[in-house]
Amino acid sequence: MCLAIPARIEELIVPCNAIVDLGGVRKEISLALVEDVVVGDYVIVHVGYALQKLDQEEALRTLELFAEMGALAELRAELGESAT
Amino acid sequence: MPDAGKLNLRILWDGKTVYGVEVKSTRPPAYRLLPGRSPDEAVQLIPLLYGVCGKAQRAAALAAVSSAQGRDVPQLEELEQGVLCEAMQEHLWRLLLDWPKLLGFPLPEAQFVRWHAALNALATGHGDAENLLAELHRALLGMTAEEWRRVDTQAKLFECLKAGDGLLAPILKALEYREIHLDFAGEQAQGDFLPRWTASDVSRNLAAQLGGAFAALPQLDGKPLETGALARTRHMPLLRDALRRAPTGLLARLIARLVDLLDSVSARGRIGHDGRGLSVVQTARGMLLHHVRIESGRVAEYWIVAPTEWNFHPQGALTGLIGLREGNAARLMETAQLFVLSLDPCVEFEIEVIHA
Repeated sequence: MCLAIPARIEELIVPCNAIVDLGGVRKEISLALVEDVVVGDYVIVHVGYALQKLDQEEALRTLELFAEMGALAELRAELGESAT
Repeated sequence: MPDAGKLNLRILWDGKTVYGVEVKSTRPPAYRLLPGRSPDEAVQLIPLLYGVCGKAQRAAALAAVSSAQGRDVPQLEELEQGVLCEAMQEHLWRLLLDWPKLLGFPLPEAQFVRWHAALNALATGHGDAENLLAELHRALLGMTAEEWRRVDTQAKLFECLKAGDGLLAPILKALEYREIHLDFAGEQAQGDFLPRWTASDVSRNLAAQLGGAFAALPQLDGKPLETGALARTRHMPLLRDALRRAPTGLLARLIARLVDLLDSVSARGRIGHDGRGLSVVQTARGMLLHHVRIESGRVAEYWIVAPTEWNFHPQGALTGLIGLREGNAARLMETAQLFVLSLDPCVEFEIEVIHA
């Protein structure tokens, strides 16, 4: 199911693209579906498009959840449990 | 680095024929983060985790929690309108961006962006749904809604498309051409479909199996089932005809998506619950299930069965590739991409051809 990791806008590219940082990976995406995005904003990216702008607090909270989930998966792997 | 996971399809091929498929998922079950939290917090976190189809996920969470608490779902009408608009946006995404890209046609991106914005407005009660639907009929098919309603066979569909200048005409034609030229060893069997169940039907039919293991690999009586637009529309004469002509269902799934998009005038009935913590939401990709158990004001158990779990079950619809006669690895890869896109995965997908 469609998990969405918030991506931070690093650089705007004319006319309506941007470079985002997605968990340490830089990627060019389209901003055609969102309005008023500036460098430093967080967005949800879906197949090369920013789908939705997130407020900073929501984005950071979501990133914390993903970090927590990563830690859980590692713990389960150590205990020899299935990741699913 | 955070990881949203992906699906992986391995196609086992002897150089002439596909003799097996393996589907694996590395997607983390994010719903395992929810136990121990308050029900309100679970409802807030779910759309953050599952942001791509956030409206459907939030609606399913609210309905499941309300159901477990014995309350009515708050603002049901607004939720259903949001879920409908999100599903229409997803259908337009596949029809106007993904399919043209895969089949080598130009992408009508400007129109897509405009309609996506119009559906965002409709989701919040602004704009005119009837006007938008009339425009979509004209632009996508070159037909009026009246003409589209009279289309009840595949031959009639192509006849009407030929007379107009709809954006999707070349896409549908190209996919029909690709599908009829697929060569299978033996008869192609049609897969089984998930019925359009209410939440109470799900409880009744799946009660013995529901749980975490089921959420990862859902099936009914040992059989994986397909959910989505084709499962919902397969009894209509047009879809019955398309499936009879090509049981692989590639074109049928695309036509079904179009029917789902254009005939979705009413948002009612997309969200339901069984009164005991199980909710069902009809999304673009199919049936989304949420289940919550609340004890002493905290989430004691939570799991989600997304449509992708049904549609990409290792023994599910992708086994339709088995028996495909294809001597060229690159063409086999292209055909596999058609199968995958027709089933509409909600996550990143990797395909490997394993030549044994």
